[in-house]
Amino acid sequence: MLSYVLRRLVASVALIFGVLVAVFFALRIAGADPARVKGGVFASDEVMQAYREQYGTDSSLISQFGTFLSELGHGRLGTSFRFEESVVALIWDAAPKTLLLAGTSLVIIVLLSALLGVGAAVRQGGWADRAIIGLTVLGLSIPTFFVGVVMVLLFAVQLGWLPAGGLSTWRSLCLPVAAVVLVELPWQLRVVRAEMVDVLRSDYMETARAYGLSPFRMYFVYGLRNAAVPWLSVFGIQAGALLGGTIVAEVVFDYPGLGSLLVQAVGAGDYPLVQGITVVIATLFVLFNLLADLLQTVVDPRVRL
Amino acid sequence: MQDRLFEFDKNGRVVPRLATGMRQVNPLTVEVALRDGVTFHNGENFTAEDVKLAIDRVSRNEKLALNSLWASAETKILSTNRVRIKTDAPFAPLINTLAVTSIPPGSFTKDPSKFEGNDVGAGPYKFVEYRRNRVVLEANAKYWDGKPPIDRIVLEYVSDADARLNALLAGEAHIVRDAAPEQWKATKDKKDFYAVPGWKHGGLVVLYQHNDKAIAQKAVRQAMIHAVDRETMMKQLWGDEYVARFAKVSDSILPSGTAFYQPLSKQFRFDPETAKRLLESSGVADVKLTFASATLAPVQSEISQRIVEYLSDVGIEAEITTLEVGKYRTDYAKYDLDVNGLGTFNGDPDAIFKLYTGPLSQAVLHLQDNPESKDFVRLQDAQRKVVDARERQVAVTAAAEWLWDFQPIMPLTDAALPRLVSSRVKNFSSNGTLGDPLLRKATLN
Repeated sequence: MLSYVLRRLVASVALIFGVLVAVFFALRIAGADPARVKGGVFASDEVMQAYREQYGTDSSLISQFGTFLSELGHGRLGTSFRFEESVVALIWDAAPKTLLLAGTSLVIIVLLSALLGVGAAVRQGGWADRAIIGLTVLGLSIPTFFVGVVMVLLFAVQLGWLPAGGLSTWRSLCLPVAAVVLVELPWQLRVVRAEMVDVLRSDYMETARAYGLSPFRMYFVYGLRNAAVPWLSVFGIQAGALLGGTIVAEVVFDYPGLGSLLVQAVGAGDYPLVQGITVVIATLFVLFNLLADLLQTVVDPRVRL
Repeated sequence: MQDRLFEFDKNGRVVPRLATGMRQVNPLTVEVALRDGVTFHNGENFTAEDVKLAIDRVSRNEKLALNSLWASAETKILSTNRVRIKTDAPFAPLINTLAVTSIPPGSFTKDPSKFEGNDVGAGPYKFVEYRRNRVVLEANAKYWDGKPPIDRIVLEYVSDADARLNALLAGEAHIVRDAAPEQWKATKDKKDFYAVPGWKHGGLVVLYQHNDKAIAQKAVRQAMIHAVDRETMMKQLWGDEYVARFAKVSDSILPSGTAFYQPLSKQFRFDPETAKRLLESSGVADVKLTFASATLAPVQSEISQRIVEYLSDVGIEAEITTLEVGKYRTDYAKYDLDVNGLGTFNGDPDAIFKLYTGPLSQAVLHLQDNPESKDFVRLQDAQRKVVDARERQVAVTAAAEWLWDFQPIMPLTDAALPRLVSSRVKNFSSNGTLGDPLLRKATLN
């Protein structure tokens, strides 16, 4: 397994590098000119040239790329054009907030998927199952930004129970986490329910019943473990959607994480910051997938990597 | 943070601040009396030398003067509280320009590196912190006009329009600037909020690139404004009430808040038949234009789309390219048409006229490629040299009429997007300028 992990890590580094190269050139070919964003339409040629020298965008693309690689080799991601701060410092400040939001959402999604998915499968065809299926259809149909806006209007504006935006206390997390969970949960929930329906019909579950195991042990220890293998595969694939949902939620709730930072960086033509955040998000995505694959070997010893 | 010699009140009138008065000595020269007993935030006393250094910085540097609102001038210290400003040529916009010229301590003007991570002025609020999207200010207890009632002000940039509105509705923000129609509608019937109109010194326009052969023809440009039902379009997209209160359809090349503004007798009403006739008379056939759009202005995409439909009805084809906001900011001038904002920072018509003769006319409109536009230089020059108010009114109107007929751009609305304010904030008014300096008079319950 160690060699598999090493191979995956090498492939991941290559993948992240590929993403970075694509973003580097896409930004400079199709993105905004940061010097013009900074100087505005009134800026003279001299001022524009000064900004281009400051940003290092006055040289050829190949030369810029060489400089970028050299800096990256030394672990430097450059200085943000928009905030005039080190990209590493900006990401260091924002990334934990994004991880807090995404991580909290993930834990709740896992717990609720397991609980409701098993519950729906056990009561298949009953009112609880139909209600859960209905809710998943609703959740799958509604985008994160809409859920976010509705929740802010209800819980922050009308009822005044929770903050509308920012990150000041744990209460600030409630609405963005809820928005991400409500949109991402249905995907997981449907998979768990469908897998558990199959598992419950299997012979080993009949045997477990015959042995008189408690329902909790039967469903959550033995049943869920067998349903977990395909669920983990879907989890890996859905990691991108989870991160995407987190970014949207950050913008809607003015949450000071990587997503908000990325939106501002794109608007300002802030190449170093966009590149830096892209590396972090791509790394998180790759690691999340790797973790999901490794977890499969834990829950199902038949899986060999 | 920065006080100026003069400032604009909520109606756009120029009133004294660090100056106590100004006397026109002759068409080239004014004398300004300065307020005594004023100190900067760093404890230095405000003197005539600070004024001289601040004005020299922008008026003695030819490039800076060309790109700013200033004209070439020399400032002489007459005493510790009196300066004389002599311009190389008569400069009618002087008092309005002084109203937007900050006066920092002379030691900072001499060594601008002192401004890094710091800002010092003689204004009602002191700089505390600027980090990322947040500026924190605190009341200046030693302010010459008395300590402002609100102790601390936090200015925060929130990129998402809905998040800004939600912060206001939830009581986490007290003022939201430049509210779009949908945001205003969300608060207009709520007693907890009120709207403060800005000073109408700008508006929404369609910018033209005059290096296009068709757009270079005046008849084509006049055809375009006749082809677009601006009033119906804006009312449908922004709402009747919002347009009536904050964004009336332009009736001059000058925004209505500009000094010497007068509605012009000639109006370009919606008239597709006239548009077709003008287009035919231009001799230009198969007009095909490119149109840049984005989501900077409220419902900008919809406005762009509607204009394209109107133009198509009279035989002008335009293809819209929707750009990401950052890309739009840097690339809009590469397209024949785009919806944009245009205004004056100092409320003087010269600032608007300069847009059609100065660097902007080249960078954004390519007016240097339109030989007819050179006729305007004489009119622009004439109005800025007339110091007498009555004579200047005549000169400004003549320049505005010429420009209005020339249609270098298509003015859409005379807009000043409102500030939405929590009713906990009392006595707040806006003069429309950056930073909302009149906030110093507001109180917070």
